[in-house]
Amino acid sequence: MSSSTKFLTLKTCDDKKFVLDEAIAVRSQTIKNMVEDDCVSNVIPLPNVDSKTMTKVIEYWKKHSEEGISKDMLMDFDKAFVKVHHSILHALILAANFLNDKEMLDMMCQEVVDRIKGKTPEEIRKEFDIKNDFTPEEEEEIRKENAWAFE
Amino acid sequence: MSSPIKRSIPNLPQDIMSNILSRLHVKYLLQFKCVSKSWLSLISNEEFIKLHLSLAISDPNTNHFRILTMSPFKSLDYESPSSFEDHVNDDSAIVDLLYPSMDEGLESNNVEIIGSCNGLICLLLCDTNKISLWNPSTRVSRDLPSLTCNFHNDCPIFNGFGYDSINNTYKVVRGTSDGIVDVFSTSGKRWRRIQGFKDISIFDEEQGVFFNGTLHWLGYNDINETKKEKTIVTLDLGQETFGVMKQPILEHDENVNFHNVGVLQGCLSLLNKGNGLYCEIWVMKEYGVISSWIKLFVLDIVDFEHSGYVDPICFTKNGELIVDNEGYQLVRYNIEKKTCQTLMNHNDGWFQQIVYIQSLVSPYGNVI
Repeated sequence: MSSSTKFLTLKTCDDKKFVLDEAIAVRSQTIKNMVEDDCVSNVIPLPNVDSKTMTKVIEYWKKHSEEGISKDMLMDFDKAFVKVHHSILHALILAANFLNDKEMLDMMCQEVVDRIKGKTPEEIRKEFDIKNDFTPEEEEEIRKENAWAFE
Repeated sequence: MSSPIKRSIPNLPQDIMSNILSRLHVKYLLQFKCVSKSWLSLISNEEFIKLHLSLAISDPNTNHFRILTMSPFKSLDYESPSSFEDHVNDDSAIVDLLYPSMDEGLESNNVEIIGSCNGLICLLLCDTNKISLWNPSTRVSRDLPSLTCNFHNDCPIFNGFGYDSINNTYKVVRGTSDGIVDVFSTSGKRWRRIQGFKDISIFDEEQGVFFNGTLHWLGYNDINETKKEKTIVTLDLGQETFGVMKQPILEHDENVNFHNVGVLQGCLSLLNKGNGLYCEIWVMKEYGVISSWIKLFVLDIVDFEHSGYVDPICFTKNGELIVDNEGYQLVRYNIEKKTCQTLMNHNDGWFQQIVYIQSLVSPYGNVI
């Protein structure tokens, strides 16, 4: 690394500090804007992200900033990266959204899509712990309207 | 630290849920309407429907377009590997579309396709002279009221269908040879007459082609009492004003006949069916700029099984051209190799076709 490497300190909501190369941290558009607007003092607070999630985010950022890494290796990394419980996926999506890292957010959202594609409404409710708030009559009505889509 | 909101996917903010669900095919979304009330409300939301549509149009990976053929009504996934005719054991690329009015004894051979826009198909039911808007992906349809204004014994000879982005409404246009024009807007309840046209005429039986907020027909422009010029007649759907747009000018051949206004590669297109042996495809590279008409390429009729006509419909993602060969075959044509692959077809004899995108757009406009 060149001698001009600058480091930023990020502080998560549970008061853990992460020291990170600025060139990597600016993968976050939110951090990039703060750096560019010169409103970075010593520590950048990330009130919406906890340390467990931030560790994962930084793991992703570092891998995607590695020099000379092949496309295939990145694809394998991404594939393994998204294979987490949906509560962690949820936290990562919120973090990617807050940090404004579109690439990461898109990848996470696509993972959710892949998890719900081809599932029945019942299976989706079960997997994501969603309460069915329709009365049986209401649900029957909606199913009837779109009956052919269930074939 | 404990969060007050349960950490589960459905509790994500609405814009992220929109981001996620908008990547799904219409058929899944129709099923997922009954997951919960919040999913139903999101999937039915007009902004969501627009987001879903714009992602489908620009998706670089998956083709969301289909070709509707009739009769009877079928939908063909023309990019699917199983769309080729020789895939005898797999017809998953073709889906039967049950058109709702069929229950009332409507024969689909008395139906004419007027146009397709954002997933809606506009049909003319010839027996009753009525118009129907239909979304084949959600299977919702709407029969429009009969024309309320009378056309002085003159029947409408040209039609058109498209989207008016200024007023966020879909419009059906019907007009007579002498320039009397009525419009139905999906945000309204009845037909209304608009300012027609003078000194121009539209060819009989022309169905308008929607592109760039405007409908296009082939017609004539009266230059003076004795001289007419072949032209493209335009109707700006937002302003509801008619205009003309020049066809390509060929220095060596003033009598060339251009046919079939269309849209190819994101440009307005025309065909020059030179003496039945070849078919030149012209596109207007920059919309509205007459000097930007260029000849894109030429199709040799001998390359095709039926020698009557070839009608380019659209390009596949890998640059092959889907061609309607005389209304009997859909063909996937490789322009460089000049090879044809016939696509599966379940129609009885001659068919009409149109490309549409799979969307959630409702024929009832914003009324849900």
